[in-house]
Amino acid sequence: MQKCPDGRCPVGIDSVKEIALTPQEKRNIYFKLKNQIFKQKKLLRELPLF
Amino acid sequence: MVKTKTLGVVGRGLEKVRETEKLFGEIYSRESDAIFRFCLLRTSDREMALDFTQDTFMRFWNSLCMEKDIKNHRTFLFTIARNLIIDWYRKKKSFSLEALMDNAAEGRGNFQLVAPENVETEVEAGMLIDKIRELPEPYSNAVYLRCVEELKPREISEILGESANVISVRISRGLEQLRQLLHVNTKTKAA
Repeated sequence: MQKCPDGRCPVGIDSVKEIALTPQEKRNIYFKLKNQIFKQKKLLRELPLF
Repeated sequence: MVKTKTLGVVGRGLEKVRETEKLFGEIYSRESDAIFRFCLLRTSDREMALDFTQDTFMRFWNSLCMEKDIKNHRTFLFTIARNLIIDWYRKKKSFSLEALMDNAAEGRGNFQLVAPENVETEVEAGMLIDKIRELPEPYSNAVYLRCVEELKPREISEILGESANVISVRISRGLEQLRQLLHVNTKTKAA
């Protein structure tokens, strides 16, 4: 699949797509997110009804 | 007794929550690299980019829970990331040029690839990122999102808040300038 309609993107642009999170970083962020979400749900459950 | 609260999380069925979590996990798996890459381009700081990536997905989760009408998850994520970074720049009390230059000089250390054993690819990627970053701001984002993330002009227009025509023009002009920057870079190396 062409990246640009007329193939104008610079040569070697594919190498930029290899810049990524390391597997460890990806896991760490995901666990932090899950933790935040869990705390958020816990907080909501503990809020009093009006 | 189930307590119903705001944000839409509590009060919906458990099944719905599980579906949302599953969807979130899939989208995170698919898009986290792209969002991280974009944040790294804009901040030149790996730790900062990691924080912004996390914040982006947290806000995305909140939007999913509020059952916002999200037509395109990808563009929505990029929009969140972009807005977070804009806010960050606005809040910075002093913008140290020296810090920027230090970041740029150490730049390649930030661009760790998934498979870092290919040094040549890493050097090439770092160089291209530097050149894309050198482009004037309106062109830099448009060129990056088109060439690296392969978004269509219409999708980029949603992220950047401009019309698709304006985006197409920016992509064209940006690529032209990028070609000139790369040509100058090649000439400098040859000299």
